Amino acid sequence: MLTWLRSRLAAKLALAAVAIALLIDGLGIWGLEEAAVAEMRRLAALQARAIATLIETRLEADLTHAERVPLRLAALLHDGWIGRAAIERELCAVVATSPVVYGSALAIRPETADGLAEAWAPYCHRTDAGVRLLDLGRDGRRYQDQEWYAAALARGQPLWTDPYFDEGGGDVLMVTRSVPVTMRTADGEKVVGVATADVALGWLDKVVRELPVSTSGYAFVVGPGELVAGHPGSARGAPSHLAAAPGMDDAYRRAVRESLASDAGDGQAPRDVRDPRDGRSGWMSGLPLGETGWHAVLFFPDADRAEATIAFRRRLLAASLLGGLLLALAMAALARSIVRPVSALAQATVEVAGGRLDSPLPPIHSQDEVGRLARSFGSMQQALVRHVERERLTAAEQERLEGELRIARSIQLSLIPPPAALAPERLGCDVHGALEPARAVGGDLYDVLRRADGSLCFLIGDVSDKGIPAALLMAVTHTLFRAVGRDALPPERVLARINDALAAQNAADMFVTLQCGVLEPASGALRLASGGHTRPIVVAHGFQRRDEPVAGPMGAPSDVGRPRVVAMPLGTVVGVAEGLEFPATELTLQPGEALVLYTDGVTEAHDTASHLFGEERLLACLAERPRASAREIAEAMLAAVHAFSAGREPFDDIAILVLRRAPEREVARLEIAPEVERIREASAWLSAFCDRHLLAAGVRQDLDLALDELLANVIDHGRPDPSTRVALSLERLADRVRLELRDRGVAFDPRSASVDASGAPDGGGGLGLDLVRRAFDRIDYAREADENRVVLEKKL
Amino acid sequence: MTLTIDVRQATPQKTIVAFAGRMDRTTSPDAEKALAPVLEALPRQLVLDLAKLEFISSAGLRVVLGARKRLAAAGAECLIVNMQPHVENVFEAIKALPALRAFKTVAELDAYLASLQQG
Repeated sequence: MLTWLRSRLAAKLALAAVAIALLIDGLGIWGLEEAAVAEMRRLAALQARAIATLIETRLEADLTHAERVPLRLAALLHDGWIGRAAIERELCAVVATSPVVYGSALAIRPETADGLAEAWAPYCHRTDAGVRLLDLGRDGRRYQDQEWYAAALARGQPLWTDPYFDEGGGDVLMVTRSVPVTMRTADGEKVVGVATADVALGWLDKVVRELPVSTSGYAFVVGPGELVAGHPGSARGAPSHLAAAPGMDDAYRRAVRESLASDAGDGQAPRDVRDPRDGRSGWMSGLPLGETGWHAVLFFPDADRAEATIAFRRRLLAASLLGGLLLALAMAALARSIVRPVSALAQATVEVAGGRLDSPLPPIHSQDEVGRLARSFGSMQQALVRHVERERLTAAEQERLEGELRIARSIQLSLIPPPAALAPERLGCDVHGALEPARAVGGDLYDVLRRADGSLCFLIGDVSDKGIPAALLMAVTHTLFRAVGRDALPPERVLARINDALAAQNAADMFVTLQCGVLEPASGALRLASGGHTRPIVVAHGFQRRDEPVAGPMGAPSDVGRPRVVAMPLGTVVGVAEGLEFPATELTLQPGEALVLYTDGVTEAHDTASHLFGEERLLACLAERPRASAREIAEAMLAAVHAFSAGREPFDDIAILVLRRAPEREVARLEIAPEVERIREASAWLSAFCDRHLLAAGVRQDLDLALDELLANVIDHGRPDPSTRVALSLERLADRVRLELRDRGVAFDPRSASVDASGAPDGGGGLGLDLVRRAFDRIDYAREADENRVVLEKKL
Repeated sequence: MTLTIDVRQATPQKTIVAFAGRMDRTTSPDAEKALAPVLEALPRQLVLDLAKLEFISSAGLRVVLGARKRLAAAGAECLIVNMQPHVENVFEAIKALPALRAFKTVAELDAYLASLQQG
């Protein structure tokens, strides 16, 4: 699933978009909640202000109206006593006409003279049945001690009493305006009493309780003297003092007092407080109600705020989730619009990469990056198709060319004499040639022709170029040699004829270096002519050994082993001008000696450091192989050149031609341990001997067979002591070859072994010996001391 | 020059073993070892391709004749094809040829096998 998500651009984009959207929403909710709280505070403050204003307006109206009542009463007595009846009439009129005023009194100061010494305080108040008049000083009651009276007299100023709960006057919350009453007398103005107006504030309690505050908040008012009205903890219409108010604890009261004390107006910071009645926490805000000395206090429970914010948050969350979902869908759609062509393109890319170059690309026409990518890919695909087509044509052309070159190479290689043509029985001489063109075809050549008189006419050459032009000239030269080589001409004449023919038709101004020779194998007489070609080398028949009688007129031992370059003039290259003469040299090839002819591809082979192989290395290589056959000499030369120039492209064509006179007589010896594993050694030794002595294939086969059978017999049945040796010797006599075998195994005469030739061909050792007996002309056996000695002879 | 042996099961019934090089005292044990599992499997026809066999001595002959004998005992055939002249000389020398079904070329061998199927 995760892997799938990671691999889908659309899903990734959508996920990223939703994640970012949710992050932003989260930050938004967090920030908005802060703002919401601040806003709610502001709203709370506004509501508080509104409520305060509501209460304040009515309160102020009531109080302002009430303030005027005692002033008017006071004004009645200002100019003199008007009589009790008038005063009582006036009081009743005030109460009757002024709905705000619950009751009004005019309390006479008893101390004053002028007939007013008597305590009298007429008080008129409202009842359910109408206005009632009574005397507050009746029955000796002391109104003089009441606050509204004493304080007003003491201050000489109008004043509001603290709100009080008038139990006697009508069980209502009340506040009283007291105004000192002065009267002009003979002695001047005297304070003769106190006029009052009682304002019932029962409505305050009622109104405040009914005020909606927030959702579940409440408001109450605190008047002067900390009288609390409208607090939901108290009974309806039962104001009480803060200190004794029910439903409050000390912390709550402290908060209330602090709300009253602070006078910051609208901006007042609400206090966090806990309503002890139900444990709800909330804000408390206090506001002064105008100049009345009253305060409105409001409580906003946190729950309301939380409720509001939760609803708010829920809506916001829903909105943001919806927004996130829409965003994700939009991103997915956008991503798909990008991904679909890209993935279609990717699919096409895989097809194209898989080799289906013509697979159609998805049609993408948009101008955006995807469109550009698709178009780029399209042009790349077309370029690729063109390129592949070109490659294919080139490859086809190349293949055709290579095919032609292969044919040319096989034609060229067919020009040189096949191994059968160089068989010693045929030529009477051990001859081996090798040709290695540096490229498919080359300009080197060699050939050996047997003339009617038994002499051999041979040629080696190197065309002054490489590749196809050289191959063509080589073919022409070769053909010319074939035409003239068999004629009884000395080699310099052969070269002259080839030269004239080439020069006459040499349009390309190419030339060829040639070495031509005529050898009489029987006598060793050799005549060499050079047309600008590298001088050949004569390799002697190796060092003499004591047990090897020297036969024939060979040189002193000091110089027989050393290969030597034939001292002869080089002559002019062939093919540049007609009528040229070529220098000739005569020498005799001794028995066993080899004439090595080669082209400069041998001596001019380069190693990786661009050193030349050179004549010195070639002579050293040849000196290591005395007694080697022509094939061994040629192969050793090639191996040395290859080893020297290992890691480099062949620099030049290589041709090698080796002619070796057979040695007249040789006794080869070998000693091996009587073990099966040694038979191979003996076999190789025999093979080299046969090479050197130009023995025919049939003879080789018989010698090979005899050696294998006899050695197997000795090892398997004779069982000589492993520390002893089996001594072998091979000798080529004038008319026969002789194999001698000596071993220290059990005495055994191979001549006596019988075999039932017809019946059991899978019988014992007799089968092999029977084969040997049939193949050889003579078998001798002798037991000498503790040694078996078997001698086999075969006529050549 | 040593001996290389190529064993190839041509059909479920026919196994071809090609020898190249020398089959002499040194290499015959290898040839015997290579043929052992083939003989164990007992094909209806064992074809020994000697096109590239350059040399054979009595040790090699024993391997070939031993294989023939073992197959003949089980009613199977050992067929020899592409025998080179010098190898043929050796077989001829011990008069072993009549005991062998030898074919000069693969074409002759195939013709023989085809005739078997028809018959």
